[in-house]
This record gives sequence, C-alpha cells and structure tokens, in this order.
Amino acid sequence: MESIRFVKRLFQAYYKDQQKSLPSVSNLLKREFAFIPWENNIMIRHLGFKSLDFLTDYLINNVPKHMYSSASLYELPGASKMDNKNYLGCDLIFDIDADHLDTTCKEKHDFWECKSCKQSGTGLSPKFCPNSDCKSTKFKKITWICEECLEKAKKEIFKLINEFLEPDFGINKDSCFVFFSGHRGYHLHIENEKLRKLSSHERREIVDYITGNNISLSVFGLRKSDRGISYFNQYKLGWPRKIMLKLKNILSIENEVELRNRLNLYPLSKKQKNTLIKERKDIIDNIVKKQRDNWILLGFGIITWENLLLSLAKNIGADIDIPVTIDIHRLIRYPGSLHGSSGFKVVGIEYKNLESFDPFSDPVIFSKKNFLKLEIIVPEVPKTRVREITWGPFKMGEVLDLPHDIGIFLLCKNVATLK
Amino acid sequence: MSSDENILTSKPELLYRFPWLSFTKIKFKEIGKKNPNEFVEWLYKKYWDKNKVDIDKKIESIFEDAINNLEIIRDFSPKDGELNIYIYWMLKIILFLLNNQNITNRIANLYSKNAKTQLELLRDEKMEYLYWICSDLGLDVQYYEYPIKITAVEKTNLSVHFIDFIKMGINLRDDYRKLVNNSLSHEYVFISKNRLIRLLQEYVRNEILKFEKTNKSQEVPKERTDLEEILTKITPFKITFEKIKNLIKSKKIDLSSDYTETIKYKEGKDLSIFFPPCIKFLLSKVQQSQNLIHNERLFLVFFLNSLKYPIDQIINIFKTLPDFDDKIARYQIEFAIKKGYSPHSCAKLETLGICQKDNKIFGDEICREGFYSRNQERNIKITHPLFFINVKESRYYKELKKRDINGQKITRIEKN
Ligand code: SF4
Ligand SMILES: [Zn+2]
Ligand SMILES: [Zn+2]
Repeated sequence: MESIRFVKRLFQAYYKDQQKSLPSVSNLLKREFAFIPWENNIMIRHLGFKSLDFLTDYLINNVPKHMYSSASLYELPGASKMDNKNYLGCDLIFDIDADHLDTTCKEKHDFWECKSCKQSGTGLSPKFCPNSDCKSTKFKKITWICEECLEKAKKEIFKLINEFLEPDFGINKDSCFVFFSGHRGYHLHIENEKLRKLSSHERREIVDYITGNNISLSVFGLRKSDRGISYFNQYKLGWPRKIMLKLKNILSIENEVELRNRLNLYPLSKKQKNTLIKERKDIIDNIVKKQRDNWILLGFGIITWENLLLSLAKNIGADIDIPVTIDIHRLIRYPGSLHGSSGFKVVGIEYKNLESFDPFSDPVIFSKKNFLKLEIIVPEVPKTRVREITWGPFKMGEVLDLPHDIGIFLLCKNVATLK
Repeated sequence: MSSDENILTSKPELLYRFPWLSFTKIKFKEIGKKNPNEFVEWLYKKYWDKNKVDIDKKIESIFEDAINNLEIIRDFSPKDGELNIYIYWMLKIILFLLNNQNITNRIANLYSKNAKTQLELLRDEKMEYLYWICSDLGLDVQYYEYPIKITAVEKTNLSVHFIDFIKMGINLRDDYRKLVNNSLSHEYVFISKNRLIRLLQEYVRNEILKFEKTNKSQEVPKERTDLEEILTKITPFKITFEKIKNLIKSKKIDLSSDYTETIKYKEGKDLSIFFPPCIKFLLSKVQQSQNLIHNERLFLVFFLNSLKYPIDQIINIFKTLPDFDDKIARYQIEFAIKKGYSPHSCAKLETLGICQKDNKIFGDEICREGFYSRNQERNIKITHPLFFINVKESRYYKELKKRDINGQKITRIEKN
C-alpha cells in the first residue's frame, strides 16, 4: 500500500508539472475518456471533458494508474451507454504489441509461478501446473520487456508504414502518428475523415491486406494445369508481386548454408529444399523475366506450392494486433500519460525520429539522482536497462538502493516494494 | 479527362440503359421535381393516353421476372428511351408503398443483374464510359489514357480509390472482391473491366434496396399510407398497383418481414428473443431472401441444431433462399447434424466476418464490451454465441423474478 501511495505521489507531481504541456488529442471534446485507478481494477469510463484544463485537473486530483481516450468520436462521449453516445467515426488504429510477437527473448525474461504450489518456470505459463499433485490453472505471471522484443515491435511499425501504408494505401509517412505505449509496444493512428467512416467490417479488408490473411492463391492464378503448376509471376502490383519478390529474394541468397537456414522457416521437406536450391537460377529467371507462367518442379504439387506461398505471405504481412484495428470502440492510451505498469510515458514520435527512438530512455521521466530503497518480492527479476544503465538481474529478497528511474519501474511492474 | 467533356451530356442513350445514373436527375430535372402523384399522373397521360404504351404491363412484368428470380428483365430495351428512367422512378414509388423487404430484394437482384448485362454490352474497350458512369455515381476513380498492366496479359484504364472499392464490395462474399486479392497501389485499386462491372452491379442493388425506406415523403408509416391513398385515386395506377399486389399474393411471398415467426420453436422453448446479433443478422438476411455464403449457412445450421431445433424447422428457414433445393438442403443439413459439429466461437466468427456485434440494428453491448459479474469484479466477455443466449436468458429470468417479488419492474443499472 505504501508503495502505491509513493508511486501515486510521483505520478501526481508529474501531472502537476505537465499541467500546461499535456498534449491534447484531436477532437478532445468528442472523445470518451477512461481511467483505471490504483486501488482496484475497475475501469472508470464514459467520461467526457470540456477542455484540456478539465482533463489535467482530473489527472492531478485523481492520479489514475492508467489513462485512455477513445479512438472514436462521439457526439455525446460522456453518455453512459454506448448506444446513446452517437458514434461519429473512428480513427484507424494499428497496434503492435511485443507480447504477441514471436521472439525468443520471452524464454529468457517471462516467468510464471503456480499460485497454489509456487512451482515456477520460464516462458509462457502452461495450461495446468506441471506439479502432478497440484494441476492448478492459476498462475502469477511476470512478463518483461527487453531490447529484442521492443526492437522487433519497432521493425513491424516500419514494415507497416513502408511496405503497406505508404506504397499501397498512399498514406503519407508524415500523417501517421506513432506512439510508444509506455510499455510493450507501439500504436499508429491515422486521422482521416474518409477512413473514419469505415465500418468494422470494412476495416477488416484493410487488416486482411496488411496481414495477408484471406489471400486466395487461386484468384491470383495458382492451379494445376496439364503443363505443371500455373502460378502468378506476371503481376505488376499487389500481393502476388510481393510474394514472388519474396521468393526471389530468398532464393537469391548466395551462401547456401544461409539459404538453407532461411528455407527451414518454411513448410518444405529436405528433398523439396534441395530441389528449390538446385533449380533456383531458373526460378529466379522466370520471376524476373515474367515469361513462363508454369512450373514443373519435382516433388512440388499444388499443396506444396500453396503451403509455401501462403507461409511466404504470412512472413511478408505486418504483425499487427488485429482486433484493435477492427474494433471501432477501442480505448487507447493517452499520449503524455504515464503507464501504470511501467511508469514510462506514452510518447508520440514523428516518423523521422522513430529510428533513433529509444524505448528504455526517451519515455523515462523519473529522476536518476533521487534514490529509494526497495526489496525484490518475486523469485527473479530479469536484466533491465533504463537510460544508459543496465540493472539486475535481481533475486527474491534482495534489498536495493536504486535511483527513481529504475526503482519506479520495478514498483510499477509489481516485482518490488518499498523498504 | 476534365469534367466539361462529360460524355453523359451528349449520350442520352447511356441514361436510357442505366436509369440509376445520377445524371438522369439533372437531365430530367423538371420531371424529377414533380410530386409522386403529379409524376404518376403525368406519366400515364404521356404514355398511355397519348401513345397507348402499356406501362402497367411493363411494370408488372418486372415484378414477375423478379419473383421468378430471372437473370434479366425480359421487357427491357434501351430503345424505350426515357421511359426506362420513368419506370425506374415508378419502381421506387411502388417499392416504397409495398414496404416489403422480400420484394424489394428481389427487384434489386433482378435490376442489378440487368444492369450488369447492359454494362457488359457496352463496347467500351478503353473503359471510357465506365469511367463516366463511376464518376457520375460519385466514386473516386482515375482514368489512364494508356492502359496500365495488371499482369502481363491483363490491362486496365481505370483505378478506384480503395475506400470506394471496399465499400462497394463489402457485402459480396467472393474472393475476387477482397482488397487483399486485388492490385492496390498508391491508394487506388487497378481493376479489370469485369470486376468493376460486378461492383457496379452491387452498387445498383444497394441503391434499389434503399427505395423501400426513402421516398420523397419519408415519414413512415403515416405518410406511406397517405401517399398510397393519393396515388390510388389515379385509376390506371390503382389498377397497376392492385395487379402487383395480387401477383405477390398469388406467389405466396410472405408480406411480413418478421423472421421470428418462422423460427419459433414450439415444442421446446422459444429462445429466439435471446439470439445473438450474428444469428439475428443471418436470419434477417434469409428472411429477405439474400444469399448466405457457405460458412454462414453452416453456422446457422450448427447453431440451431445445438439448440435442438427440429430439422424440418431448420430446412424451413432456408426455403426462402434464391437457390434453395429441398433435397440438397436436407442432405447437407442432415449431414452436418450427424457429424455433430457445434457452432464456432466468437473469435472464429469474427475472423470469418460473421460476428455482428457492431451492427447498427442487431449489434449488442454485451458482445462489444462484455458484462460484469455480480460482485462487479470481473469483466466477462462473450466468447461463444451459445454463451450469449445463456447470459441473456438468465438475465431475463432474473428480471422477471425481481418483478414478481416487488410487483414492479426494477431498472438494472449497467455499471460497465
Ligand atoms: S460477439 Fe459472438 S455472439 Fe456476439 S455477435 Fe459476435 S459472434 Fe455473435
Ligand atoms: Zn501448482
Ligand atoms: Zn524481450
């Protein structure tokens, strides 16, 4: 409890400090606001504010743990029932969450502990406790962030913008607002009147395009023919071209060991991989010159092609959190607010600064000069960098004198208490 | 191409073929301005009294073709000139008066198929006419004097903005209309003639679907009956209108559009009032004899079957579908039931595009936001359509109980 009061006081000092400089979302009057307090997990929502001043007053007086505003615009954002709010439209939102990305670091920095028998392990928690006398399904989970997973998340944002939004959807880089969420990932908002009018169903079409879901290879022309497999090397635009380019790029890897490693990511047998490697000059030629639209490869039936091409597509697509984009009533973290599970700030980033953005330094607002004393209360805390210093790993029971910047992070992550 | 060379101004024959173009309203402004009754009176005078053109035969035959699910309007010829436009406007008035979703749907299907046929007949190698047609409809399209290659063999002179592309095809369920399967570049979808025509067909269909609700006199139902009263004072119109109503009656097309009638399950409990948005939506589509795609049909069957609806009832529901075949339907349904499949989860339904939690008419707050457990501690999400029914049903009975005890209804406070 004391830890919470302490963190809350520091959050409050921050919000007071920001009183005149908290950023405003566009159309503030038409957004719904929501907050989660420190004391319980019940969301306070359906709030509307008449101006930014009222909002900052609210923050200073209530000091929420988490703060959100709606991606949607409403005539009456404060109405207590969704149906009475009078929906006007919704920004197009993309969310890239390190939690959902497939990275190897999770085995290193994510832990679980069985709530009943205290057995623990790394990585994702199992369905049942492996302790045969226990079999409980309730676990305490500790998920962490590291350079690797946040770097991967950033890469996906670049992919989203550079491979899809700009070249295909014609959305200028500079009109994308990118935000670091303050914890595990990035959001991208596009505010555009025409896009705001898209229904949830219609947004799904955009999502499918960006992820490569629901591609129909037969629409592109893949089928069995009497001369082998007809495929689609002749497209100038769109997904068929993306897929062919990807195949060409992989097969163009000179070093055979490296090439084999890459091919290992795809559903191919050893024999099939050998065939691809042997015939690769010919395949590349064919893709580049766009002549024949027929393939005869030993051991490559239509199913093999389908599986290969679809997994290439999966690889090309951006790894976005689909429900966020489809949902037209989402609440999104408010820029400039603090994330209660990290103490980091939600930061807006211009595209040109995205490359150099450092998620372990730029969103950190608490002092490195003031110290606090705390005790670790979980079996293990992974290594963590804040600003230029890497801390830990720490073990249960360790008592530490730490600067506020890392200290608040550990308190917010719920792995330590004030001592 | 600049707007001053709009070919629609110089080619009225296009308007006669495509009476749904908005340019018709400009070209025939004087007539379009008339009240429905002025217009109807004027029309019968001009064609029937003067030239003995059988307007009611023409209109009747359109309804007949629609009810018989034909692919084209048999009695349609661009040579009829302006009359095609007036008949289109008459359809608008009649569909509004009939106020029958089922009939509107069939007319929309027929008329849009006819539009497709007419569009395909255009000798329009460079897609110029198509460009003007799209522009006329307010679509954001680009024209390229020199065709752009989509593949080595396929070319096009047109591209459509991706938002218009999505909106036009959103109710079509084939893979061809999906954005992901099309050539998108710099905001525009490069689209072949055939695919564009298919989208225009859908556009026309949607336009006609609006007829039922929008007429000059929008207030329903009072004004609808008022309008009927006024119009049926015009004798030739009255005759036409009666004939159409009789035709509908004789074909036993259900005049109500209340799907719950067909779905009531008498032996067991009637759960239809607790149905989730996704199911309500599908049932309303069926009721309006709109086609369902394979996945939608299966889901509906699995769903009703898991509520133990008798198989004959399930088959009955599908009877209104355009391509219904009793034997095949029975076989498919029995097969599905024998396999004992259960309906998909909400997550799966969402990826299949079947979930309707955001639907304007059928959407439901508890699908979107979940609900809170009694102690307000836990937000519980709807994860399965059958779970939805459980929740709704138990809420309903709790509500009833409250009423029993206190003798009056207590309003629930939704805390989420
Ligand atoms: S949330 Fe589930 S029950 Fe509700 S509409 Fe969607 S699929 Fe149906
Ligand atoms: Zn255990
Ligand atoms: Zn990591």
